[in-house]
Amino acid sequence: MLKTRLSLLMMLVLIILPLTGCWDKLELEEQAYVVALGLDLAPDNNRIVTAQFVIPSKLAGGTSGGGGGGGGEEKSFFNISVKADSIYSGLDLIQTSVSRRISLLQCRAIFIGEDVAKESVRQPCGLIARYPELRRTNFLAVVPGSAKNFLFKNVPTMQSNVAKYYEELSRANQYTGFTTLSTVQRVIEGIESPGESAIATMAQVNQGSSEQPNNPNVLPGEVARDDGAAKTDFVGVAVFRKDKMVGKLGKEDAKLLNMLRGEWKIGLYSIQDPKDPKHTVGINLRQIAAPEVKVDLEANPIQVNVKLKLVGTLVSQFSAVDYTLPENLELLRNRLQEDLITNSEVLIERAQTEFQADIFRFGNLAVRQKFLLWKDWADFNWERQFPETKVSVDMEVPILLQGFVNQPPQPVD
Amino acid sequence: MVKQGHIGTTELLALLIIYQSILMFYNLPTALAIRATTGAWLLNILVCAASISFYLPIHLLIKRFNYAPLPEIAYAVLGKAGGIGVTLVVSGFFLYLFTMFLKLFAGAIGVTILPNTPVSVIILISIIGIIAVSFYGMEGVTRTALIFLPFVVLGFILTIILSVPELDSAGMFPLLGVPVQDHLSHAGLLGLVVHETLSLSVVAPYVRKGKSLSKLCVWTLVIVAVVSTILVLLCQLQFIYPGLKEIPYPLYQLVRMIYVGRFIQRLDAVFVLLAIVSSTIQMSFIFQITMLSLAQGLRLDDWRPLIMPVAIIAYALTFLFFSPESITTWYYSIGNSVLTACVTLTVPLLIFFVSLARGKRGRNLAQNTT
Repeated sequence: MLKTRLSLLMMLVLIILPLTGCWDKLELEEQAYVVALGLDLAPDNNRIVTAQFVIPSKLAGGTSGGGGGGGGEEKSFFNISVKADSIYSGLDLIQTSVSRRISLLQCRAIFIGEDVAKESVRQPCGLIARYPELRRTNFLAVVPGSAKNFLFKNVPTMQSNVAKYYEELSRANQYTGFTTLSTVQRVIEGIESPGESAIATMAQVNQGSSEQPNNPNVLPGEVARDDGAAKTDFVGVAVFRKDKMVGKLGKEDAKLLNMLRGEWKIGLYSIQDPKDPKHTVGINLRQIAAPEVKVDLEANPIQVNVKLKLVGTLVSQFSAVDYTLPENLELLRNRLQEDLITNSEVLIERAQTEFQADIFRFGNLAVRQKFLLWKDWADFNWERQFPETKVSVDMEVPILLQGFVNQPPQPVD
Repeated sequence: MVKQGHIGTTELLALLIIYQSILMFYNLPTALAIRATTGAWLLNILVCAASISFYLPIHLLIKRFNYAPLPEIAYAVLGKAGGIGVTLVVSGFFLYLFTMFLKLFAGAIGVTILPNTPVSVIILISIIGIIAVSFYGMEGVTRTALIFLPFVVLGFILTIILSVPELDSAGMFPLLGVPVQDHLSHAGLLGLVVHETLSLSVVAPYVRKGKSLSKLCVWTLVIVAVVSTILVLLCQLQFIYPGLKEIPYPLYQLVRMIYVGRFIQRLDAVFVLLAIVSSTIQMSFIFQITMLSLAQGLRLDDWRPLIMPVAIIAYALTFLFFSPESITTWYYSIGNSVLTACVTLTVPLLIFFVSLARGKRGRNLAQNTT
């Protein structure tokens, strides 16, 4: 009995020993953590791979800063860029100048240059999905222009931890609607699924100024503002047909896209003041239910009706009109509804004619109408049907609240 | 007859649930999606239903022989040569299963968390743990299963709840995926891979309430059908077809997708821990069955002298079978279905019909428990 117990004890000791991690043990202080990756096309059909590394000792309490070596601030990250034939051979090359072992375990964001996105995102997405250190939940953004330039110029504000900065920005669509929930998984789904097309958030360095005209449907890098601490814009959506980028949507289009996809949480929507057209009215919209989408596959052409249910709160007003009066409120509601319907239909038409891509996922709902077998659905070829489909939009947008003011302040006569 | 501790039905139920659920950690959702596209969830239900019916031959046989172990029944019905033959087939089959599961487990761990560690080292460490457990016999394995079942259940519940925000109902449609006749043929083939029924014929004499064994098996399959169908559906809704068919270890990938704010993310480490515990319990059970059936066939009183030789043979065999790439598809291959059916259906049916022809019946062997 004693012998048995001793041999069991020996075995347990043997099991405990490899718990240190065998060949896969990682010493934290020997890792070089990449927080963001950039991928561009090089002229000779190679790739430019940019890796943004975090400096852990500078994370606690320090101000952020970075770039390719410029700037006199305390840097919490640095960038290295190389030319290679793929992401991983690029990282291999980067390892030649980094003393610590490169780790992608903390990588939060992947930035893809527009040239790569237009060529195909299938390969980078496939590589990311395959590599164990990266995750399908990684934020993926398309940079109109160069991803390398973006990573070198980007200076995170209000956040010394650059990983957290990317994580927060990747979810910003929940309270702005300017972008979309853009992960590697969602892009892969969009590429592979016959019922929808892929979309991704866009980001760009802003070199403009407040002198340039104010365009409400602004694209990244074009926001009219002075170059302050923040040098980048995360705004707009890149549209893909299959695996290739075919177009861009600006800030206002991105909002409508989110509403039509049922992914709008809460955010501001501006319309022309119906009583005082030289001013605008800002309404905070909240989507209270998923869009009701009815697809008539028997009709010729196929008909789709989308009904959106939103609730509005009046939050900004420049005119002196009293919108608490029922007749004025009704006018405002009608104007908002008309505006949303018209702009949505314009956006849908653009998707049908310009992009020929179902970015609204109507196909995913069409499949439920009559298809039971995958083969029948694949043969139906929704991608080919979508541009010919007749889509109508319907709205239900009551304005229920008016903020903390009933009537705007009036000057004494 | 091998002396062995009593096994409670609850403990055995816990063990069998873990035993079947472990397939979720490997490639069950992928295998189903490859065959039934978006109807993977439906195919899973049909596979479980088919599995229940494939339990019938074993049930008929062990009931006729009052829950005697299979090798002993074979001796009584087929004589000494037949008894030895059946013993070698049954223990050889479980040794094969043990080896394959060991390699499957090591491959999964290698791909998911220990990519730089040689597979042979992972196998060696696992085998040492299983040897340690096997000294305590089947009773030890079943009790360990009972202790860990709540954690495994909690793991599944958390996976289900925390995955919900990322799910997309589009993954369920088209509802059937493939025609009904394809579903039925796939279910028939996959349902054959239900070898735990044969293991019950080895442990039957040691179960406390022997006569509830059939109920136990049916309940296990029903519980596993419900749990696994929910998990297959989750995988379908997360990795919309055709994405699901391209993903190895989809449940692990599903857990990697969990993001409920900054503080509830990256739960894969916890999941892997549960998978390791469950796999160890499952492999210990198969290892124990291998030795028990061999000891029963060789008419030994104790299985312990067999532990080291069987473990060494198993370790050596892991270097022979298949490449790590093909091992992930092995379980659901036609070859494995046919082989399993040959052993789990043909052998019991053959013995059953011969016993009918010869008019042989069993005696109660329940007194052989310690």
